[in-house]
Amino acid sequence: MNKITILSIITASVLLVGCGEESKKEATEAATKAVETTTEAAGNAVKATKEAADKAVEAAKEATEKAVEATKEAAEATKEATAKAVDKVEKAAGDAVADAEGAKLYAKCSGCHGADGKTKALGKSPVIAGQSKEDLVTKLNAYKAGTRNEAGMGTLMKGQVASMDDKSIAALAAYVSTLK
Amino acid sequence: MGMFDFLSNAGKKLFHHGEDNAEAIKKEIEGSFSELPVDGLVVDVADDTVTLAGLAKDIATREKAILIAGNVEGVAHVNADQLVSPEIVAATNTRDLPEPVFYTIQKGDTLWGISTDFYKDGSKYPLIVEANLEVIKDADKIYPGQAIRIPELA
Repeated sequence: MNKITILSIITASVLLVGCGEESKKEATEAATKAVETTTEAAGNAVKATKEAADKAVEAAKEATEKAVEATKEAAEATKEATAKAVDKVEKAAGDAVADAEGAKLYAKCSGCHGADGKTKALGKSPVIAGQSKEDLVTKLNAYKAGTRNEAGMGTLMKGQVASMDDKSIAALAAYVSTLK
Repeated sequence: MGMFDFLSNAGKKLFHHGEDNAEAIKKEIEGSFSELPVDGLVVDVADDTVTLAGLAKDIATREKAILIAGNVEGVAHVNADQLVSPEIVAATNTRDLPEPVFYTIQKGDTLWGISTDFYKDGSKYPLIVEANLEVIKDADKIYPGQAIRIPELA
């Protein structure tokens, strides 16, 4: 914008210098025209600026919205992570309780199967330490149902697990599976 | 353990037709003691044979339980194979003895390295030294060809 103005003035001045009355008039007209052009240019510039500003505001608005969205998402993620962590802690606490429960239940088994589960009970049972929890649950339930007779000791074992519910059997199996 | 024979035409009249004779014998045994005589007592009746299972408090209690079941009219045999007591458990329980693990030291071996090989942890080498006190008299003086034992991790 400034460049245009200066150029116009210079042009006008050049026209003015060393010119007669008539050319002076012409020069004045040219100068006026130049000023008009300048004004118009300035107006356009203002318009452009306003448009740019509007666009910027729009962009800022959009960015803000996006940021808000992102923040929301982050909050959601945090919430989820927290819930997961809480779940994990609760599960760990549950496992610890089950462990303690399993150890307690195993006390009566240890007489025959050994504190470490590695004794062959009555010289004929398999070593139970380290068997998988799933296998142990299946076997204990089979004893309870009277359908398992390992080493001819099925009835003895039936009597030992008769009073255990599913939860106790699971806790006991979990404990035995951890014996090494 | 074992099978015990009784006179089936003598004894307490506990059996009644169409009733749960096993439950009757279980009650008779448990009711004869001031405290629970057999942990996890299971009684099965098949014809004139009673099977007892569980962990009796001691040898005397086990024998008494067998007699109580046998002295019921109609019972000719008591199978007590699965009726055990702590004494029986102690006498029959067995454990697999761990196979000895010997290792012959090679040229360039270090105790740290041997511990890393067997335990995946070099810092456990004192366990090896400890387990070979009379063999490795000086931890700095192991030699190629020397045989040592590698104890099981507790």
